[in-house]
Amino acid sequence: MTSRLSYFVGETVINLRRNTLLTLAAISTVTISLLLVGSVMVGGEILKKAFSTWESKVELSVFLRDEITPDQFKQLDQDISTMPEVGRRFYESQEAAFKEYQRMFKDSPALTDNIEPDALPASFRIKLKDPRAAKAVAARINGRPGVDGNVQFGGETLDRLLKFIRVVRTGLIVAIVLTVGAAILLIANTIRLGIYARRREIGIMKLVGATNWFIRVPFIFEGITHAVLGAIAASGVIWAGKEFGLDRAQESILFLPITIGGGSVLKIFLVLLGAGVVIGALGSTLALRRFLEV
Amino acid sequence: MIRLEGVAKIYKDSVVALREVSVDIQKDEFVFLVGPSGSGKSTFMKLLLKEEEPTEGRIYVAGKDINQLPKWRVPYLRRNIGCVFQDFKLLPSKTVRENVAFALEVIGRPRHVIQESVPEILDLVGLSDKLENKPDELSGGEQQRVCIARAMVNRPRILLADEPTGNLDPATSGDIMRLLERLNETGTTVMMATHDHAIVDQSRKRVIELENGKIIRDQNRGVYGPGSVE
Repeated sequence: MTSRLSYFVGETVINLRRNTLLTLAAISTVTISLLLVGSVMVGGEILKKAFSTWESKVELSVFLRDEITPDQFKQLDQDISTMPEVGRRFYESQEAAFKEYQRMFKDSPALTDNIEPDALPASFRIKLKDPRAAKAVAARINGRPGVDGNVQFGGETLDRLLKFIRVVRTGLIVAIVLTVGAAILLIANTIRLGIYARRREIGIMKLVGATNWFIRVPFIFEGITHAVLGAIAASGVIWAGKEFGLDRAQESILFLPITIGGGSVLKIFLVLLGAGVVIGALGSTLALRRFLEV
Repeated sequence: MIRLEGVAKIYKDSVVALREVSVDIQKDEFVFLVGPSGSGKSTFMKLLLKEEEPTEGRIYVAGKDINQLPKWRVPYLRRNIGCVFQDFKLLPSKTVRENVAFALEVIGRPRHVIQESVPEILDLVGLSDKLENKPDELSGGEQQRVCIARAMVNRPRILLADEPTGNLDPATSGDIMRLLERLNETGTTVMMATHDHAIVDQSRKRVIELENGKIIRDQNRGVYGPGSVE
């Protein structure tokens, strides 16, 4: 068994060395396609984080008209508190809003000096049980007596962001499909050339009674090696991107999560490795499919 | 050891390569297969190796009906049949020892078996002093000995030789013949396709003559025959 394994490994190394240029081309195509897969995953991780941060922060602001009557105020307060989606709500008076404003901009006298205590509207602040209900709740409150303008929840920005992400993701998936296909074909082609170069040996192997699997194994190893090396390279690039790109950027952008953890990098590496093995196996199978009819 | 019953082989383009071929070859026999080019000798050998399927008839090798043999068993059939060629089919980048060892490696024999039997068989064919030479450093006769050693190292029960002396001078051909006869004496069934009149006439062994795909003569202690061209 050990002699058999060392035979397979030796033959695989010979195959990999035979056509360095083509081998490198196959490996780099795998790298590029897996890099795209990895980028989509990194994007997904960041979004997941961003959403959980955003969800904990999402808050509806119902601004009140200055001339709201006590009856309207009472009615509105009651309506909001009986909505099933509403978690917590609190009232921020004009005075409190002014104090909060002054606190937020205490380092910028230009913004605070000329502002009157009654310039800012009073408001209800609503925390939802499920932030995804924001749009529906806002629609129900809009236009009620005493409510000034539309309820604010940052929804439009979010919608636009989601739409943008969807477009980017579709583009990336198309690119992934194309590059994965190219990688499989290149691996298949590289292996096919290897088979051609070794046709004498293969002929003798068949003649002396080597089984098809015995003949195939080194070529399958070769394809998987291409793909695994590609997966390692792609993961390396992603790790470097996190370490020297995202992590650095995160230091200057504190309020938005834009980087991912080391655990995520490991997870991405494992997924890419798995995807690589599948790509390599597919490429080899494609190359070996029509060959070796006994 | 080899039995054909009413075998015909018609290729796709309706070329008849063999028809109505029935032969029974016993263990320990040495058989010459003679006949002009295109008479069906190669097809005969290919059928035994299951490189081709017969259009009609049954073929038994070592007691097994090989028509029934599933595809995945074909390699195991071939381990019972050694092959020797006119052009030797040696791997130029490997040494003599490696060429012979290759035949055992690729059927997954353990290393200690390979290390033992390769020098043994090369000694038998008289090449123990050329183990580390490459094929292009050997004479034609020596290369054919390597080819025979490779065919025999797995101790097959049958040896098929396709024009083994075709590229060799008469003296060397005689050496190769003596080697094949010795292997036959140790219990290997030998079937040799040849054009070599001198060898056939000298050896006085069973001769099967093919012409246009039919057996026109099957004779014990035969000669090449006056009717044949060449």
